[in-house]
Amino acid sequence: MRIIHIALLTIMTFMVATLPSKAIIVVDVNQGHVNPLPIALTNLIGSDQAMTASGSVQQIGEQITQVITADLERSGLFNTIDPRAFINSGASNAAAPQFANWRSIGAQALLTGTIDLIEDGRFQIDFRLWDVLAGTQMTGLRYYTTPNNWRGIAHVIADTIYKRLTGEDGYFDTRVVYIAESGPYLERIKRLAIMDQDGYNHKFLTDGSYMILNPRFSPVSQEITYLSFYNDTPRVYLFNLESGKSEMLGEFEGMTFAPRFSPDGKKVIMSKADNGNSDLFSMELSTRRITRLTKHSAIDTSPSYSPFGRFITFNSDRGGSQQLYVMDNDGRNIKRISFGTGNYATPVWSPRGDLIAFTKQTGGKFYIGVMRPDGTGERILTESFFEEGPTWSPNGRVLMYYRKYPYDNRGGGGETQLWSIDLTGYNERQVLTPLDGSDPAWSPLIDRYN
Amino acid sequence: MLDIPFMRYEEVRPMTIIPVEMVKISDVTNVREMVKIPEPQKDKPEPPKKVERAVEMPPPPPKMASTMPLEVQQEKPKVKPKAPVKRAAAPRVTPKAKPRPPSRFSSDRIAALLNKVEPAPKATDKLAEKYAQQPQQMSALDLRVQTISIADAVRKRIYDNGCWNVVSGSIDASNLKVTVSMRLTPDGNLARTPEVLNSARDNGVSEGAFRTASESALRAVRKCAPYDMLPKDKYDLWQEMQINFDPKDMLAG
Repeated sequence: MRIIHIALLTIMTFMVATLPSKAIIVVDVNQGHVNPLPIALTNLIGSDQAMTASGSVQQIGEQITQVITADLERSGLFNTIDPRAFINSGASNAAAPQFANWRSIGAQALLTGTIDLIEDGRFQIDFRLWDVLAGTQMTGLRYYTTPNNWRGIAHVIADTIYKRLTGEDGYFDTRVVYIAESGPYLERIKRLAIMDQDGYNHKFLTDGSYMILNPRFSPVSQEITYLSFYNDTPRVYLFNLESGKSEMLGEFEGMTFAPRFSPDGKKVIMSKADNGNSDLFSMELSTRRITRLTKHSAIDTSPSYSPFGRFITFNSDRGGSQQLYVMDNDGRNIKRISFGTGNYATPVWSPRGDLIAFTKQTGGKFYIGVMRPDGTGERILTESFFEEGPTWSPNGRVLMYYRKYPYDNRGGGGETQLWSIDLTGYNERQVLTPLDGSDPAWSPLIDRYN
Repeated sequence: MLDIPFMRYEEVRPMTIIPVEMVKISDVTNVREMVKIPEPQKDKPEPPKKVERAVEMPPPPPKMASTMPLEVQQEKPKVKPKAPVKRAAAPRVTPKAKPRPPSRFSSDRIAALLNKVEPAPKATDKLAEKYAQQPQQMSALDLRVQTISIADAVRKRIYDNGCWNVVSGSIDASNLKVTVSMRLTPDGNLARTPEVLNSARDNGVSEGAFRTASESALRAVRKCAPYDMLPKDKYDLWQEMQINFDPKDMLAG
């Protein structure tokens, strides 16, 4: 014991004598803030004289900055500083900003750039993103594009900024297909429509003479599947946005619905109802070969693949009420994952794999929420009278869904709108559409290089 | 066998361990005092009460409290007074913290026990004198106290001024611990570009996510400069600091 004591004492003395004098102070910071990052976005500088069909180059430069500003602002992660607070104009900043002036208005990041009309009639757009506090360039890129594509390039730049500052892929250069609804309650006209993620470039894809439901984007190409009631028979169709062609995915007995692509875009998974029972099937698009995945007397529907296609989540009432399940992609190992009160429906696996989004109905209300694939960590993001059908942004950070308002007794109400919310649950925004909108589906990032 | 657990403990909470040791050392000095002036013990009754209160009071800064007595000890040898002196001294050193209690408490008690023994006064006298003549050790202890309050001040500045904007939403968000080293000038400005000391691999996260997190940490360090609230006379202590930004507690659940 004594020896031990002496040993301990020696060690103590040693520590006391040596540690403090040599140690560097270590500060553990465990609490910060989750605030939008203040960013200053200057207008892209261009010539006032050079004209295009869409206006002078200078005007387009300003519009590009406005689109970038709107994208970043809408994400909820950035606080774009009002240009009226700028001490310097963009012109004096294109190459070497005076960081002190930007620091003094609270900017932490700064965008500067130029736009030129070059000989072949295209735009050359240069931009730089600066770290204001460090006084260094974070990224600098040059793009060429045709003048009518300026909006696309603005989204590309916004995605670049988003990725550089958040470390995740952006989602601004994307599109959304949805069902545009119009007409009275009993004679609702439902048309397939598509628009940029910010509501611009809106187009109707069908004329409304037959009903369309459940549009879904391919995760890898500009293709969608949907359920069409053409000739009054519900069928799953495949529609190529670039060629404008649609084709039916084979003839099935009974009804097919809730189609959704596999992550590689080579298969479509769906449910098929026959004699009041509904089971899950997958179809290989190249061969049209169909594989049955579930066989149960309960109703299995709304299947969705995990990002690498190994698992499938779906909802089923096999346990007595509508709940969420996960199984292997061959239909084995079926496991229930939702155990909360109420009914769970429309599960959708996040593109990054960490969460499954769902619609929940309980106590006369509807909710959009997320949970981990093992069923833990359930988190409700939003609630209302009626909302349904979440779809993920390609980076797995934002959900879009639709919300329906109740009819009132004076013949009003009943609006159907698209909304989006991010995973924090705080940044909820309406997505403006020309008509009522439902059942949105988010595209992958547009491939601009092929 | 015993050494190993001790060392581990020290790594986790270096502050707590050291105070304990110090108490023991202080016992020695106390003994000496006690021997010389038995009367003070009678006076001491008050201090213990305070000590007890204090022991209950400071749940958050127990470490501070324990370290404080150490400083007191430094002064003791010179003045030789007993407990009361310690009390007076303690408040000076640590700004608010009322840190005196726990350690004194224990030291007093032990002192009392030793008193009964009383036999080794001369030996302890020598020891005490030695300690008195070695201000370095004392100041080392003092450093500990200062270290805590400087670290607290920096932490508070970063939080209160909202300098650290945590990157949320990333799939790796809660594993993005970033260690930044910064060197300061005497007026609290950054003396050189702050550096990130760890890497994505240390955390097992993607490079992109780590870069974002480290830039957010660097922005925090820059935005909060100058650190002019730090005591100028302790510049040698804070001229170089290491800051661990760890969002785990914030983003968990």
